[in-house]
Amino acid sequence: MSAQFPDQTAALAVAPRRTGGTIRAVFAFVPLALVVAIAVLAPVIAPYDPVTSVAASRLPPSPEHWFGTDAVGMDILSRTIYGARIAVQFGVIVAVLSTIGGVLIGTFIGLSESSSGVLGLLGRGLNQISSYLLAIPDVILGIVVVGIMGSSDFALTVAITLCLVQAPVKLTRVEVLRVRRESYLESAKLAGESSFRAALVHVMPNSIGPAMRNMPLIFGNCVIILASLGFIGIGVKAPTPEWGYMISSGLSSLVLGRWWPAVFPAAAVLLSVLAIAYSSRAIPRMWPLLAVRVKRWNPIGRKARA
Amino acid sequence: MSDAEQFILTLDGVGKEYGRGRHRVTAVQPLDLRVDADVELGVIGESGSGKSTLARMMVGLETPSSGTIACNGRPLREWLSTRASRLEYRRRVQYVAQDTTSFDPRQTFYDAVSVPLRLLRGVRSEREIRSRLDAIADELSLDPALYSRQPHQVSGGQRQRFALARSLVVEPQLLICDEVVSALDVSVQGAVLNLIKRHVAEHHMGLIFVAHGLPAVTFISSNLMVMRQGEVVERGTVADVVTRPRHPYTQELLAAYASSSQKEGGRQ
Repeated sequence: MSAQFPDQTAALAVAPRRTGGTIRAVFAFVPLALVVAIAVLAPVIAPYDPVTSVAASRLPPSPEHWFGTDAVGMDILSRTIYGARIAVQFGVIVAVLSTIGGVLIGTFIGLSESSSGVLGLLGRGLNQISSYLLAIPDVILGIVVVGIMGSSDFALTVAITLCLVQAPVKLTRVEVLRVRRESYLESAKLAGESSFRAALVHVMPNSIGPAMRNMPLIFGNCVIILASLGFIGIGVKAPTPEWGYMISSGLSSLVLGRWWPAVFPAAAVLLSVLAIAYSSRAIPRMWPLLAVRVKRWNPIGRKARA
Repeated sequence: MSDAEQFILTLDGVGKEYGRGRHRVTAVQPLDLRVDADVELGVIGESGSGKSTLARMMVGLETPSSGTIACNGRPLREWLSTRASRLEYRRRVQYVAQDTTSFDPRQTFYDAVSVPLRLLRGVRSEREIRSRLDAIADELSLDPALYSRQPHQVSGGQRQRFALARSLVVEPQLLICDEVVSALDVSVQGAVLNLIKRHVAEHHMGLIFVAHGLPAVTFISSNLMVMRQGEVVERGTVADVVTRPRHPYTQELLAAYASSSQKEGGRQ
């Protein structure tokens, strides 16, 4: 009897809280899922082709064209829906690229910056460059990169990644500086592990947490920067439906009382960024659930065991 | 075989200083030491006496600021310079730290303890690894089922025994234990000390046992070295040092233990 009692209380204490937490964590992802769903299902949802004139120009919102039409008669609802596609495409690619790149660079800087020799020099140099890039406003950095590389989707991806990779770099670096003092690295050394193996097996997995939690914020920031670059005219090429460009081209008619070409895409930017930000708050709650899986992930140990 | 080659570790004037100029602190004053394969040497001293630094220098975790450490007549610096010889050195000399944080929080004990077997002993077969891990667990009175746990899922005593297991599977010629029982409660301390003593005797290993508790050190070792403020104030066999302490500090130390054990006896 006495042996069973603690087990039962432990089960009671853990089980309900865990499922409740899971449901809430999953529920918090609904706004983000909605944005992604709109992006993925755009061809199904959108009533018209987003890049052809389908009606007279500058029609106000009506039952046929809920969001009205723009200066060349393209359906604004369809364009706004397709705009989510562009935003999500860039957001996901940039978030993944920045996080992977940031973790790798941050780990390298953290491990090398205090050593002497070429690697130390390289690490300190990268850290300085990262700090300088962090000091430059995102849009200006974007203008410079697009100016140098020419306007293309690839240039835009590079530009936005360069703006947003700095956060995971710094976050990972600080974590690495903490982890590298841990005594389990000394133990690993005594067990015969090389520095490279230790970096891969111990340092990186124990340092990626903050960068992973930062990932959805990169997504949101990417949407803002993409719209900003589109707004000033160096974003995705027209007539691709992109929110920033739609806002700027609708802006001139705003003073004439035609509010719909600018307000709807602006609302789309606002709502999607809010949705992403809201969902990103769920990541820390989701993290323990994910971490259980991540903790079992052991690149070298598993290979050796298989 | 020359004189120096027969000793696993030979320390000649090995000292350690931290900082520069006015901020210079001497952690270990230059000392000589010979460690043979069948010697059990206890190193005792208060916190900051340099005993841990000394132990860490012996495995290359710290670099001595003066003197040379040699293993079987070859300088430690040479041993650690290439990958192959570094691994060979790790096969001969293993170090267990007090820190119960010496395990990666992400790893299971199976992963952690099998690493030295794979890398240092070159064991490839999974069955062989499993059987060796089970054998060492058995010897250390650990439940082999605990190998699938992570560090935070076991008690401090179990973690410390896994730390020992990680070094003992290597079957080194010399084991250096740095405060391995200090963080454990008294009953577990006794168990771990017995395990170490038995294992060292059975496998004819050398042992350097660093601790600040006199009973543990005198129980496990035959020779004793007393350190204070980086200086070796006394050394000799345990019997000699305990019955005829020459240095005032050793006398003080023994008196303190005598009175505290008397008090405990009275309480019982």
